[in-house]
Amino acid sequence: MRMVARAPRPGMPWPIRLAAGFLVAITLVALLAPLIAPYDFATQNLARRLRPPVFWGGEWAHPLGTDNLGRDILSRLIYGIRTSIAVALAGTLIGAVTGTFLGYIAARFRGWLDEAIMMLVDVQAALPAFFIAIACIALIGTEIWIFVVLVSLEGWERYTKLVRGLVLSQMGAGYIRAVEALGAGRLRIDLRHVLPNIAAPLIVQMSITFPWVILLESTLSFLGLGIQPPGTSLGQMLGAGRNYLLQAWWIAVLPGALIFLTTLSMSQFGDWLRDVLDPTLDR
Amino acid sequence: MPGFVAIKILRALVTLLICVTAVFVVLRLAGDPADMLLPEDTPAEIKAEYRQRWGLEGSIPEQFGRYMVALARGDLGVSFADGRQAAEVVFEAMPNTFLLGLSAILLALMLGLPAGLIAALRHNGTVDRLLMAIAVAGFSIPSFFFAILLILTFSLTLRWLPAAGTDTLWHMILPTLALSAALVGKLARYTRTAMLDVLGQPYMRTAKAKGLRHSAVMLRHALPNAAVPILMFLGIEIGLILTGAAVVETIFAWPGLGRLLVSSAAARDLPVVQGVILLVAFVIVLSNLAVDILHAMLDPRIELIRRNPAT
Repeated sequence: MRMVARAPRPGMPWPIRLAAGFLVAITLVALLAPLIAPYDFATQNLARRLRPPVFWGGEWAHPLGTDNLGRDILSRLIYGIRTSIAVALAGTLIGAVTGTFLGYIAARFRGWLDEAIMMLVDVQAALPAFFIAIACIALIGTEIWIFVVLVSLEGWERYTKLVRGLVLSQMGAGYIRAVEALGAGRLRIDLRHVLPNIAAPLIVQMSITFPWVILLESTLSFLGLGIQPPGTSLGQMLGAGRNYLLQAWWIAVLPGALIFLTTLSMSQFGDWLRDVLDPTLDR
Repeated sequence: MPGFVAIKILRALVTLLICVTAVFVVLRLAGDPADMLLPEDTPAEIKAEYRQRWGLEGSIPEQFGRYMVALARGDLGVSFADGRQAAEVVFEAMPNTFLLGLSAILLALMLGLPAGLIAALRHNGTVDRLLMAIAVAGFSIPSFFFAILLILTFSLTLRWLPAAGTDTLWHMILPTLALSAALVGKLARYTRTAMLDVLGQPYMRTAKAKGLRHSAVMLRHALPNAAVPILMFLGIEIGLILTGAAVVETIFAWPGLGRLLVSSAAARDLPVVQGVILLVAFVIVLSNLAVDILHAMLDPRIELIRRNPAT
């Protein structure tokens, strides 16, 4: 493996620490949702509907208030985070693996396969994932696994272009010729030598794509085209709360603020990661 | 140069052709819309009549041929929802989205461009950090959340601005703000990067060394060179604007393409969905093509990249 001389790593500045801390907290909440949620997220209690959060005249029984059906907002937020993070993580991973694979194939085999894959990249660039997702949802409906696949369309073509370029440039590198001369097979070279050397920009690209996937998921759910009731996600909560802005702002504002903080933390963290790992990658 | 442009145009045409085919395949092969939309106990002859009206009879290649011929004539079929021509419905909504998108772009240029310039000139200073923090917040905030905060503040609490409709110019303010937030943030950051890039060039040092005034250095040498990537940025981010429009138009009841797309998708009105999506693809391909050609005209080095297969 080739070692690249790097500038000494700067310590994490405090905004990045804050962002990283928030992301860890969100992940823990998503993992432990059934343990920490005070109520079942779908239990309705019409006698206690539209209660405000505790510091706006509410009570401690529902610290963040209740929604139009009397469901506990805190519990719904916790489960909403769980769904949103799970969908976004699955979408990001599927997109990263597919895009990387296609970019690798294009670089390795060149010729018509390369042309075809790059054409696909062009088509994706011409039609944002959001529009493809809407068309498919209009047609097939909103099943969760279809939804995850559609969300994974966000940004796959970036991995393909990135990996294709990286693999092409690595193939001519001296250390690759050296291991080839030592008699290593192609698969061994690619997995043991090329992949570790292109891992850093890939990880950076994933950290950049993740907030986009969250935004796509929450946008579609907000529009009523994503996660369907009785399931819950942050975007869906916000969409439902839109009709109660005047009486109960907290139903929409709290999940919105959570999405905002998550995407903000992730892009701050991603920027920092890029500066540390790979200063040459463009945004 | 002409060869480069010809190849770019050809590629754009092929991309459009693939988009058109893909939309047909996705929308027609996944199931028979007549079965999906009509009640299960609909008599066979009524189903056949609907199939004929929607252009669904015959084999798939036959349907594809008819679809392409109709498309070339600008005929998208009949809207499932209200029986009007889908193309008519789509073109009716287009000017509204154009108006909203244009005003969002203008606002982004008015705010994002100066913010990026100031940040670059105050590189690593407090002003720079502050402006960039706002910029990152601008493109991290989901447009639907920002829109709802705007409505809560300016319509429901302060009662200054209307939250829905298109009657007056006042109605445009909140949707424009909501749509341009992401664009302002991205443009500010992009302008800053482009300016920093230019400021580090040797010709800038030369300009300073030959004793030009600071303002002349900035206006004559820095800005024109930074303008190329900034112009390209707007062409590339057209997709972001169109995606944002879908959300913002839905929230503010703005009768444009985005709202039309969301409501037709929910109602499974396939001809209209198809029309909006083809129009979006057309606009994005065209603006990407314009960016490529403009870039090649402004920067002759671009043509060299084509000859180097590694890039």
